[in-house]
Amino acid sequence: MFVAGIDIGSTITKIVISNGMEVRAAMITPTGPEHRRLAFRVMDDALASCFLSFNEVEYIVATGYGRINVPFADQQVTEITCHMRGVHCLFPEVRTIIDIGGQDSKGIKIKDGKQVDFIMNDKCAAGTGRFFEVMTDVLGVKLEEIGPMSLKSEKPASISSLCTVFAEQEVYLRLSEGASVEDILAGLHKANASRIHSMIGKLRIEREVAMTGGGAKNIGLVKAMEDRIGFPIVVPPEPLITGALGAALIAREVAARLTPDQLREKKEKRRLEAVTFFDDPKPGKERLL
Amino acid sequence: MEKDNSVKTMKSAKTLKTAREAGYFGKKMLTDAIKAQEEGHPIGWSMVSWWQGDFIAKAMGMHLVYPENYGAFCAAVRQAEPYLEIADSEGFPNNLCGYARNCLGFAKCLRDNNYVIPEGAPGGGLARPVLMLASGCACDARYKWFQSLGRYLNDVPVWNLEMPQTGVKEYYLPGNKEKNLRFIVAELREFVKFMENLLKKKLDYDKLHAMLDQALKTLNLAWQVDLLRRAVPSPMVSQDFWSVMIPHFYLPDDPEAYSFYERVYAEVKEKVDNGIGAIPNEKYRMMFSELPPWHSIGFFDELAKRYGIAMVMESWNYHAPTPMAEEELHGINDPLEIIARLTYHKWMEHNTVAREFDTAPGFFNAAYLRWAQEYKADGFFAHPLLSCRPATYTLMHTRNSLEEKLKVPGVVVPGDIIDLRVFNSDEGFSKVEAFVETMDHYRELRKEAGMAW
Repeated sequence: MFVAGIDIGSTITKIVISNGMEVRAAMITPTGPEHRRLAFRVMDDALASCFLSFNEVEYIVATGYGRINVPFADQQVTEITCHMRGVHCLFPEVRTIIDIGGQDSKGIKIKDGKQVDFIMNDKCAAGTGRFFEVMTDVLGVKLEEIGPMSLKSEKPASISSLCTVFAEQEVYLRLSEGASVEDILAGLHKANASRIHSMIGKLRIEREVAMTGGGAKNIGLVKAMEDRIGFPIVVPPEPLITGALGAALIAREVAARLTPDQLREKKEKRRLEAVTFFDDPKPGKERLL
Repeated sequence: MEKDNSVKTMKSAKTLKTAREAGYFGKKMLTDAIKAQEEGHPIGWSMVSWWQGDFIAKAMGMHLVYPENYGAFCAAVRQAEPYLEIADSEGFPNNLCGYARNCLGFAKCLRDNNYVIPEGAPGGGLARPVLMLASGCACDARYKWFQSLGRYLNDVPVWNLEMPQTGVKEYYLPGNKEKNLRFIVAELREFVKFMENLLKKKLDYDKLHAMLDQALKTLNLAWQVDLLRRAVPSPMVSQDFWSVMIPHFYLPDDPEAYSFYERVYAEVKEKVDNGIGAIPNEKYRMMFSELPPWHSIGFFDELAKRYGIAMVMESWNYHAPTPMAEEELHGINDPLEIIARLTYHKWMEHNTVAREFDTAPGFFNAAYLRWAQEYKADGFFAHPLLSCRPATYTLMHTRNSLEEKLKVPGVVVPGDIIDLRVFNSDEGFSKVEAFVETMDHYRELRKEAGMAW
């Protein structure tokens, strides 16, 4: 049975198509401003990559910040639940998840495969991917370089402010004092790890700990988090995909509970169309794309 | 085309007919004070003092208005921001109490308009006072708030009423209660002397006694409404309570408030008798702590609609206390001592639960441990406020206590009572949506543990 999970995050969109426990397609692409059209395109591309037609997919779960903008999804589930399910499938021993997304960061506690508690950052970019994006502009380095570069630091710079705007000023100040880019990056990672730790600490961190989201692709931040919590963190082979994977797992479970007639009825109502907010096609008008 | 100048609010639709009528009392306080001032009667601005000072001032012919209530009113009609901005520009930090900043902004406008209420002030505005009655209860910021108003009302005296807010262990020390009561009564005697000097008239103790009798009846009735709310499904939700509370909280001595509560009781009782819930699809029962986002009460209507969440109990500080035992008032003829006992009882009554659960404080914390059981709560909605320490510092502790001791989980959605600029309803919805699954999980845990709900 083919099912799909689609995770429309604030900066990156991910999709997983699976058959049973086997992942048949997994794609990652930037989100951009128009979720509905993007959702269509991502699904279309993913189907093409595994030579499936839309009607062969029995059930689709959408998650993430843009989940309400997936018109062809059968169900929407929060990203917290989907991340938890995805990580639990990969690492059943994990009790605490730290997810560092583009615009938010969150902590999730798991017990016996159930989400028992969670916490999210509030109204502040500190500890999120956006913070690091801003800093890479200031330092003139690429996002994927900052982790390895920070590990070369011998004396992390002191960064006290975690407001993105004030931290930017502080980075300029450190540069003017002659601090190296590596030291500044190490300081930024350390300060963010401290911030994330203080947030996740409210959940009472239990081993094992997994890190997901774009932040988990930053080795500098992972190491800084490990230093802060005092033990190793597990990172999935592709940390961006856990939400979509969890969504696909949920899709599989739900589909298994439905009768063939119920599934058929759902599929008949579903359309894979490139609808959009900006020029919603009326009947008879030419479809976009 | 005419420009639409109306302010978009996020008011609750409320589920009770009586709750929709309750706004009358808030407006009545404001308009009565303006009318009284025109007739030459003295006006006081009073903090919430849990009835410690209100009755005395009123018994002496003073009309009271409550700047905290006014702040909530301005926020509810989304007209607080201009006052907050004025307070900001006056140099008051934006992490100060939202009620205080709203009031400071209003007071500056009042002074700048030669103490004539500026046209367009929400609800008609606050009449110029001859007294500012402050209270040390609950909050340290309140001391400085009324002192700071001296910038704009510099000929108006401030009187600060104190009461000891002892901890759970101290509550059980021998003689603690008697000493506390003595202290409060002494405070009240000093206040009476001050008022008699200010108003050049004597306090009519008989009148005060009669007001107290009425107030105790009203509070008792308000408490009985709370009892009805234990029913499943909940016949009344927080969105109703936050309107219905105005008469018992600010005007319990007013016979009209009592009549109103009789109607509330009848409406809620009818719902209980017929098994009618406040929301049609009650799936989860949550408690709210502590001060609500007055600018966005409709947020809770949306939680009900989306997730079937009924907010079944809320805001410890606004609730009428349980009625005092008969022997508590037996033979007490001094109305000042009755007031002292009422206020003390309100602040101390949950200490028994606090001791049972080995937690503290009784207020702001243990009350929720009691209510979680009585109201069969599935979850706890914590609303920390950057601008309010007392309504925030116990929240995480309460959340953890409920989870550990009663298997009732909590969700944290920060915001502000007044300042709309720091409340993000979308973030709130997102958290609550995820929290629904957590409540499901803990419901299973309670079931496994053989708990009653």
